[in-house]
Amino acid sequence: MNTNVSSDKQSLAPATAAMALVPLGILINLGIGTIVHLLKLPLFVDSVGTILITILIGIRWGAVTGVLSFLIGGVIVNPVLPYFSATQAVIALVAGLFAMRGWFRSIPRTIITGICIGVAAGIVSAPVIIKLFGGITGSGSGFITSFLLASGKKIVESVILTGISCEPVDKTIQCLLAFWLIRTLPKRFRKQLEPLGYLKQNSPLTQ
Amino acid sequence: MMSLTTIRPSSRARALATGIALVGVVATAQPTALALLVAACIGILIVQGKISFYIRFLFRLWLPLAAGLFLVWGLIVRGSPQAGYGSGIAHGLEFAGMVALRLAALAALFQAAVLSLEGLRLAAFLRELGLSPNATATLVSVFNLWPEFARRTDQVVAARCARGLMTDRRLWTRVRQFPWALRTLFVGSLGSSLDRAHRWEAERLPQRLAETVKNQGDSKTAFWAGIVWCFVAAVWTVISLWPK
Repeated sequence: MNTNVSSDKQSLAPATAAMALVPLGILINLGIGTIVHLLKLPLFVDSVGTILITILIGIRWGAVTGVLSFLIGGVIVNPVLPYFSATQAVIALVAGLFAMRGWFRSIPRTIITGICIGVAAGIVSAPVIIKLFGGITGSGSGFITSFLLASGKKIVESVILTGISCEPVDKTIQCLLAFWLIRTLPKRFRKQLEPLGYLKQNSPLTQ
Repeated sequence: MMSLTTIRPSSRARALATGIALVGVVATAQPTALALLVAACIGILIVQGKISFYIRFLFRLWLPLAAGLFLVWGLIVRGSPQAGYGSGIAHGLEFAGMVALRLAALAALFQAAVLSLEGLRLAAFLRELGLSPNATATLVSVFNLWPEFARRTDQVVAARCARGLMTDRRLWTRVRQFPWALRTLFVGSLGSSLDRAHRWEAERLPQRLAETVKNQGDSKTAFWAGIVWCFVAAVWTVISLWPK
């Protein structure tokens, strides 16, 4: 039986690529949580799969990966995750717009991309955090929000300030992880995936 | 006699009822209405035999979150956004309680609506919502691949420990190992994912799945159960939004 079909194929149909990569992206989004938990790291990494799939096969599938990750995460990890699905779509959109222009080509560019994604994610998730969570989401950033609230800032101000100060750090780490994974992608996979997404635009420094 | 667990609403009715109730959960200011919804969803989860997941959520995630809310709004801010900061501990606790209750209701609602869907029923639900055969196959596969992926994750971390790459439990050692563990997992899973997608396409699995799903048509009972769900959700939403 041939167990290494992928290495024999030179091109990949978009539908096949989506069928292969979207579940992988979802599993990475959800599974990194497991690794982070096993290694007991003080991180909250939940969009690497979304960013990765966006770069590999485009914004549309990146957004699908992100939204489905949080919907499925709602069933198998945390039932309040689905209410943050829109944030994942925005992450895919911003990551895609930057990837289109080759902003995952080098580390400094990737850091800038991460900061921009973080700011966008912080702004988009703010209404959900305010309306549904009363400003406190149970993550480490809740301490900053409570500090700002205690200092007399309004809830909207506190949540947005917390979002745009914490999210860029988290998203920059995730973008760097995605950048590194793409950079170390074996050639046989790269050849198959290059015609589909934004790998080419981000390839000069990834060889 | 028909068992309660076999009476399930049709997919569209399920989605519609959830949507209607969601509006009520987000917009209501009545704690009693939210408590009633939580109780109803818990009842549904008990009937479906899925209550353990919700209980785990309550203890692991909801309780710490609720404690944080009471601490921040009740003791630190001592007020609520509506009544103003420093307006009193009672206002803060009331606001925290309302948010905590809303979160419990949102989680219960999502679980009652989706958690009981498994395998072909989930596929049928997604197809009825208009997803393509490929997208349906992709989504359903995640549930099947999740245990395999979780096992592979454990193996990757265990292998790096066994090779002596994680000699101590210091934070920096673990942080340095994290990208390598992730890379091994990603490349390994990418290869098998591509193989699987090629195989599925060769075997026309998405189309076959779509055909199979067609035969999972909802019964008359499911239709009426759906009507009941939508009616109850609509009544509850109207009551919850009714001015005091």
